[in-house]
Amino acid sequence: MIMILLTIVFIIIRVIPGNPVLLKFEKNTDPVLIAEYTHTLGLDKPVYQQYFEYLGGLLQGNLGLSMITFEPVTGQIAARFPATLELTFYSFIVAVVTGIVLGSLGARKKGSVVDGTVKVTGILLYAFPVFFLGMIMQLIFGIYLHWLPTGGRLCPGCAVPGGLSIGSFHLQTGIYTLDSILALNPGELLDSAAHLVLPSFALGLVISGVFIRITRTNMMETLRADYVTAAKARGLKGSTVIYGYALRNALLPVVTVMGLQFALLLSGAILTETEFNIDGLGRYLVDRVSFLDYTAIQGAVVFLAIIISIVALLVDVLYAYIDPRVRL
Amino acid sequence: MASGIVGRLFSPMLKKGSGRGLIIVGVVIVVFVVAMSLLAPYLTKVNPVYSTGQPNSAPSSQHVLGTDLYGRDMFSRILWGGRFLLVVGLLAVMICMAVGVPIGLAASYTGGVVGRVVTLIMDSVYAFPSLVFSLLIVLVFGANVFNYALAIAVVYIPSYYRVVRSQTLAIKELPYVDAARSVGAGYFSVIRKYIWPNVIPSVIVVATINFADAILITAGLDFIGVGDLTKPDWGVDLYYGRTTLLSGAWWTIAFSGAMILLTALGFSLISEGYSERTNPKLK
Repeated sequence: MIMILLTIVFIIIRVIPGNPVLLKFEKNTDPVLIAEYTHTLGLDKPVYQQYFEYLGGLLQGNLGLSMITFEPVTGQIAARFPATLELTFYSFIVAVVTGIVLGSLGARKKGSVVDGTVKVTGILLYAFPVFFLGMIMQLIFGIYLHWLPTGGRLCPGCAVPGGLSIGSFHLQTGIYTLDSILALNPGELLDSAAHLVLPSFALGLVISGVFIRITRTNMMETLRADYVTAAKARGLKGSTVIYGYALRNALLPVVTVMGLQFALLLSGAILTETEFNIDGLGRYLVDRVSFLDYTAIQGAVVFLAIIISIVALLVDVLYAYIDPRVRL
Repeated sequence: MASGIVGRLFSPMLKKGSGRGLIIVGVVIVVFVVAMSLLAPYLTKVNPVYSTGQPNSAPSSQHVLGTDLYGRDMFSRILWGGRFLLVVGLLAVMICMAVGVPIGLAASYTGGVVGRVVTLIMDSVYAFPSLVFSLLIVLVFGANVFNYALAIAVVYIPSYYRVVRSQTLAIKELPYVDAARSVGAGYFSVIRKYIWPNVIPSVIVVATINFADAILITAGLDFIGVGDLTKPDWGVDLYYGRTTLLSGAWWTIAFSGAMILLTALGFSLISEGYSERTNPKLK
């Protein structure tokens, strides 16, 4: 899958007529200088050779040099990814918890006003542009109430959390909430967490629309299953039947959907990072796009493809863990 | 022929049954937004792209919804700002229908290696963040209406493909398809007469949600600032509004954002209502 995406992206980017290097220079630049740049970036080689060299580099974790800054793209991505990982992680938790709680609530009260409200909430959240929800939250909680910061990852001028240091051993993940816990610094933890509240809720709530829907439909189905009726007939408590029997089985399809929603989550992360000035991979991509830095864009896309494949694998493993039938 | 297809697609929608309320509300919203966009020149004489007042002025009797950071009238921009999104959405859905559905039908009915290869490619695109792909395509090919539609179609064709495929695989094993084949129905007539009609309901569900997503993706791209920032457009309003938001100028984003939400909501409601109607599990 990574190969297919990589190839598609490579083709799209190489479709651009003319030499991307020319975009960087004024019209009357010395052709020798242009040729030198082209050579440094390896763009004077035949396309198929560029393709295979790119593949070779990829296997060694080398995504090439940025066309604008001439720094290795791999390093730039590694510096940006932790912020995105942090944001998507917390958003995902918000999405799944909201989805499962509201979805199962709706299914239990099927046909009632509560159910109708849940259903409409799900559709409404799905239709919400994430950046608009983010703006509303910034306006209410940041500007009017002054409860939470409206952007960035830390208070202005604050030092980056140091991570874990024991003697010469040093571990800094770039995930600020984790780093501040490792550094045993509650002040930094509070600050970085406060900066994450609005973006995580904005992104998480928008994504939760899908989870509400899936949980609700699956829960309705499982609640009609024979084993649920049997459990009820045996006189088990309502909550035991719902949480012990029905919910567990209703969650199977939810897990499958989680993997697919990850792409939606990343799309949303790009917009959320832009809205909240978070220096993550999404904003990196948008920045590079405005500079027409093709190698960097390509690198970011390939990196995303790898991450998505890893997540898909994890979901499969998780699925086998939850559903014993898969293991047989 | 054309009216026959349209009739077949939409007449069952308004019949009595579950999901009808959702569909009706959705259709009302969509009709409202479309009418508003079409009638924009008659509803306001104020030019949406030129400054006609003080920058960032709050809603007043002169500018009902206030002005943006360049002093452009927000009311006029709201009326005009939906056109681009709606046209992109419509074109994208048309491209998807024209490409995704036939590929899905043919590849799944044929099966074999071709089916597997197409499925693999479609799944790869499906699993990838749609915004990134759209961003790349718009960036590389240029930010005009057609390329926006193309960008959204590319990321959305796999959704059509998946739905059509899962239905086709089930239907092609049914006895009546075998019967048709045994009395000499050809490849194309089996697909057209026996498989396609059964796939239509699912395609409608995907198409309406595709419309909603097209609006959201296009607005997202405008919000990032990749497109033409001079056009009156709700997404572009949010791009500019972002910079003035921190000073408390809520009117620069509130109405445009609400319109994007409303439009996407309209199409989502239709989709949800229709899927409730066609999916017996939900009844």
